[in-house]
Amino acid sequence: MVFVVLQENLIKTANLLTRALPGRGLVPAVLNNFFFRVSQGKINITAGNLEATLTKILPGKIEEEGEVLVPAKTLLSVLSSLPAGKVYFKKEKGALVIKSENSESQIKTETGEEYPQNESNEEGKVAVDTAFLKEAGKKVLFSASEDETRAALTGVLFEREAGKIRAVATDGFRLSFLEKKDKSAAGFDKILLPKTTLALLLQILEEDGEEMSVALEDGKKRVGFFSKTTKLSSLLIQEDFPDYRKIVPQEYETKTTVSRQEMEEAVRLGAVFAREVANIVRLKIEKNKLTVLSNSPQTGAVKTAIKAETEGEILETAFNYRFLLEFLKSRNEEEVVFESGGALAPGVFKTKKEEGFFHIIMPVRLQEE
Amino acid sequence: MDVDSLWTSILGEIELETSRASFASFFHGTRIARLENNLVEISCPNQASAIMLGSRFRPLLLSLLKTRLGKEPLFRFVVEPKKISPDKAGPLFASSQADFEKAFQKTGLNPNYTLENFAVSESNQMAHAAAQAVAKTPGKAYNPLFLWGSVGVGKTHLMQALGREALLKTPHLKLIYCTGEEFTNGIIEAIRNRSTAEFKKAYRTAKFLLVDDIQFIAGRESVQMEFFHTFNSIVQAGGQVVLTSDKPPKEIDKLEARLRSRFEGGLTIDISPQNFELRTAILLIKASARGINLPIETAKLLAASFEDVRALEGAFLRFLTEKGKGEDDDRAVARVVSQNSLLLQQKKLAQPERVLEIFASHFSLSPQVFLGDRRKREIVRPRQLLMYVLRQEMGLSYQEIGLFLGGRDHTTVLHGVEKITSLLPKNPTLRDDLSVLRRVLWG
Repeated sequence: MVFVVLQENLIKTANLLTRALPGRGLVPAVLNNFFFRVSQGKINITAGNLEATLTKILPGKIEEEGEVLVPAKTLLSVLSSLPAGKVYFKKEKGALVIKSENSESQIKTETGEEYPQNESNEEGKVAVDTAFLKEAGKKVLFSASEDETRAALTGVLFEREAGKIRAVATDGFRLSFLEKKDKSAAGFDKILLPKTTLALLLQILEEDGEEMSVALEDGKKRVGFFSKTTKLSSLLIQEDFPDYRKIVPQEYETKTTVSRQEMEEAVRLGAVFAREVANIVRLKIEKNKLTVLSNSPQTGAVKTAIKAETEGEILETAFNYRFLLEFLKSRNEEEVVFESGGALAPGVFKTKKEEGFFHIIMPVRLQEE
Repeated sequence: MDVDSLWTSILGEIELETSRASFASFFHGTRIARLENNLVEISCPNQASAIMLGSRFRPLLLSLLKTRLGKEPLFRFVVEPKKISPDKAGPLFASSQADFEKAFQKTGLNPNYTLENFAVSESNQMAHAAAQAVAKTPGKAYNPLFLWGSVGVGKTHLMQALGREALLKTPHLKLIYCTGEEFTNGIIEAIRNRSTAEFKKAYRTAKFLLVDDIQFIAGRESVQMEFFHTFNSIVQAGGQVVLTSDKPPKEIDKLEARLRSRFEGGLTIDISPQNFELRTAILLIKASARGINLPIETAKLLAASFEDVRALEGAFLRFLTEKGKGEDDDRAVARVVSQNSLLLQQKKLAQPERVLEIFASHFSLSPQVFLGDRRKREIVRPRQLLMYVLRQEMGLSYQEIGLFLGGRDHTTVLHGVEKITSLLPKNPTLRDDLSVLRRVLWG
């Protein structure tokens, strides 16, 4: 196997591929490698973990076809230390030779275990609505859980029904919901995509900006995303996503509109005094103002009042400031709207005038003072 | 050796061969899902661990299984997805579960009636499908949904399960379940106590109204009028009404025309009595709900002998009692079948001679043949069936039956009854004969 590529291209691709490498935990050793396959006039590099596999096609000059497995970390370190310009790769017995302008490295390669192959056949692939994916990435992804023991919550649900497409994610404490008109062609009606796969996909879209198609494989157990230079294949989460429809409040007793930035600043300030008391900040909503309060015995107390336009009952409720902040930070609209059915009812957050989106956060029960 | 101990012993050996960390992370949550013929399915909590086990431990597992099973099995890994129970999914979902339970209790619905434990067959699948559709989108599919059928076919079960399903989807739904009788008594009380305004408010603002045995309101003018207005209020506000009755709208006597036309304006579906297979399925469901492992053959035996589902349930309970005395299944069933006391009272009044005549006419044989000696199958079967009916439905003693049938020995009769009991589950023609005969005999 012999080929030549530009360092700038390769390092960019290798960095992206690194995100697909296995994280902590025990995995077959072979997955800690990049798998190079040069064949049919293409240079393919693959990296993957037990859940997702990413293959990128690199532009370059091929002199001889072949395959090799290279320890990823070592290769990455070598590449990032090379100057820009042509890099020459050659597979030799037990090693990969990398020549650049001044240096020549030999990375010992492994033999033995074969790199797992999963052939995606791209059958039935349809174009992806990348705009929707990006929007879901911004507004929904952060609500998914990191807790591996409840696998269904670590995914983002994509659902298509009656001409609409939806993305939903929750960790059991808060939930994001996004629904838009479905611009994609036929395909799946419901998939639960692992959070990490979606994040990786968004990174790819960001870097490549190419058109993407998607296809379900292996009896709906896997999904494949394809573009001219990329193939991302991932397992889908097989567990059932909880029925989120049940928890969406139908009515509210209090509705208030405030400046997003002012609210964010008030919550940040409240956070300073909330860390000690399980991150709790209190919200007091009155006719024309919203007050953010927090206090802790050791650190002190703070109270910030911001202008608000309120409909309905006066309300006192409390939230974990992290959830409030994550929502507020995820948007840059001017105004946010908060609806509540009561101090202990799930709070609904939206931005003003936005259709098809809401964010729900479960309030925290306050101890009676 | 059962599968769990088999797996535990295999895991024990594997633990000796691998590091503690590996063992814990790979084998946690695994078990043998299936062990049949030569196929072993090992269930893993998620796909990733299935892949890992496959790549690392296949040869070891294969050899361990081979030692224990005596030959090398075909084995594979399966992933068994778990449903997260709502209260474990997080506070967002737990509170909705609590909301559901509170709301459910207020409705007075029976939690034992669910769509999951409602056995479906041709006789009720349309009704079942309609119930599911209505539960899914109340007020939008059919209004009203009118389910009718004779006693014991499952109307109340389906209706209550429907209500439960709708409430599960929307815990805050304003749902009212009542019987026709309760509605009638309610309005009468309200008139007496001058609390009609509250009564009207309670019912007319419901978003989902279920009324069981609506035929009860027929013949009562003020009740029907009240129901008419209630019905209109609810439907106009986009709500859903579900009704059950023992007859279709056009056959309910003394039902006001405008109510009749309202009822007919929705979807009217009949539910037919359960056939043998369905009764068997129902019995299995009821047994499993009690944690009892009822063998299919025994369930079939009971279901074949009892056409009425309530009688079948009673028979099942008597069967359990007999089993409790240490009887084996077949003996217990035989006892229960011959004790069919529920119907004995009415049927004792019938004359064996009349029964004989009806049998003779049904099988196109002369009555003499039944009493005679001939042993041909075409004669023996009907004769045995006659013994079965005389015993099971009329409660005559074996001796009495023997005497009546030309001086036969009581053991012959006993054998005949047992023979029929065991044949019924396997022989649809025989079941049909019995069914027809029963209808002719007792209507």
